[in-house]
Amino acid sequence: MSRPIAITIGWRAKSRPIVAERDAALDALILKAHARDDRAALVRLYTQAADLAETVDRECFFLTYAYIFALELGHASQAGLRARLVAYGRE
Amino acid sequence: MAKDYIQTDITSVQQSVEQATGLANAHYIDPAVFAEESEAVLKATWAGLAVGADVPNPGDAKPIQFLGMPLLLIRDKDGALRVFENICRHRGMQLVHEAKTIEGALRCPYHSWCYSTKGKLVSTPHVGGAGQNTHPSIVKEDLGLNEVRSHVWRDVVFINISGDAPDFTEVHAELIARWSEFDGPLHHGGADSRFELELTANYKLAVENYCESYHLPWVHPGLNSYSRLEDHYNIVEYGKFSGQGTLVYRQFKAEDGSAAFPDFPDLSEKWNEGAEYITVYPNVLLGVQRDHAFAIVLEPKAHDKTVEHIHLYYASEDTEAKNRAVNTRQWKEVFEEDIFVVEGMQSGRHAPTFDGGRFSPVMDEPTHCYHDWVAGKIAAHRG
Repeated sequence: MSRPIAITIGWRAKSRPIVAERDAALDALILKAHARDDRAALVRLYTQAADLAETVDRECFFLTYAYIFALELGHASQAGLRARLVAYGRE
Repeated sequence: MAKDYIQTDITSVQQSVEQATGLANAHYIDPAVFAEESEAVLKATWAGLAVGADVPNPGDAKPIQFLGMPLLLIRDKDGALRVFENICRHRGMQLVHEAKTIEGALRCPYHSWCYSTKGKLVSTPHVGGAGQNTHPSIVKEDLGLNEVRSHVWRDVVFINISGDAPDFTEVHAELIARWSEFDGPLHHGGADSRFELELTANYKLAVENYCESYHLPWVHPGLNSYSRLEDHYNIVEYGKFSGQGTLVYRQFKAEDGSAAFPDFPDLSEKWNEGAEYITVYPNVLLGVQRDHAFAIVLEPKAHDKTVEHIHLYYASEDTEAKNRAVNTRQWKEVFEEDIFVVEGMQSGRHAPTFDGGRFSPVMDEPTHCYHDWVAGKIAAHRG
C-alpha cells in the first residue's frame, strides 16, 4: 500500500480564499485516496492538481505523481502525462 | 586470507564407488562449510529456484529468498520468465514484498523509481528536484534491475548466480536428449497439484535418498506389490546426473479402472511401463511417466533446513480435479515416508566418528555419483 504523502495544494491560501477552499478540498481527496490506496483515483486527482497549478514547477510536481501512479497501474493516461512532462523537459 | 573453518577432505569422495566414502559430516552440519559449498555448488552451477507455474500470467511477480539473496521471479509482459535481484538500483530497497501481479510498472515503495517487467528503469521521479524527473548523472539505461541468469526446462526455473557457468543446454545436453520424448507441453495441475514438505535436514540428503532405489522395499513397502527392487535400474552419468528408473510403471487409474490421465503424446514403447526419476544437480528432482510428471525443487534454507516444493504436471490441461487430488495425495504419502530417513541421516551426521559412510557398488552408485559431482565442484572452487 502506498503511503499518504502530505501535499499542500493551497499555497495561495491567504491571498485567494476561494481558490484555497477548492484546493483544500482536492488536498483532502488526495489524502483519502492515499489512505485507501486507490491509485486510479490518485492518477485522476493529481492530474487535476496539475491542471490547477499556476506555475510550471507546481504543475510538474503534481504531474509526476499522476504519471508515476499511472505507470504503476498501466493506466491509459500514462502516455499523455508523460508527454506533458517531456514537453517541459522534466521526464 | 585465512579461512575461519577447516577445509574438508574431499579426495576420499572422488575414489571409485568401491573405495569412496561419502562427503564428510561438516558438509551437513557446519554452517561455514555450507557457505563454502553454496558458493561452489549452488551459486556456480544451475540451481533450481522455482517453477514457471508460480507466475502463470504476464505481470505475475513472486519474491523469493535464495541463500539469503532477495530475488524476484517475474513473467514479463511478453510472457518470458525472468529473475532479478529484488532491489531498487537507487538505495537497495526491496521492491516486491509479496506475490502480486504487476499491472503496469514495478514501483519502488521508497522513492517510487519505476521499472518495466523486463527490468528497464522507466522513471525516476523528483530525482533532479521537485517535479524534475531526470538528472544527468542518473542514466536510466545503466540502472535497470540486475538480472540473474536463468533458464527454464520442464517448467523449472534454474538460475546461475555466478553468471559464468556454461549454458544450461550445454551442461545438461545428455539429460535433455534422454528425455526429449517428453518435450511436449506440460500442464501444471494447479493448486491441488502442489505442496511443500519441510525437512530438518540438509538438501543433499533429499537428493541422496531420491537417487537410489535401494531403500524402496524398506521405506516404501506399499510399492513392493508391483514395483519390486529388481524392476529398477540405476541411472548414472558421472559429472552430470543420476537417478533411477523402473520397468513396471503402471498408469494412474480412475475409480472405474480406466486411465485417469492422457499420455504425453508420441512416446515410444519404452515408456509404456517405463518411468525415470533423475536429479538435475544440485537440487532439482524430476520424474517422468507416461501420464504425468513431477518436479521437486529443493530450497536450501540453511545447512540443516530444506523445503521441498513439489509440483505435478499433466499432458493436458483438461484433467479431472478428483483424479488429480488422489494422485497428489498418493505422491505426498510416498514423499512423506522419506522424511524420517532424510532427517535421520541429518541427525546421524552429528556422530563425530562417522566418516561419510560407504556405498554399495551395486545399489548406491547414483548416490556416489552425486557426492563425486559435489566434491568436484568444491575442488574447482578451491582451485
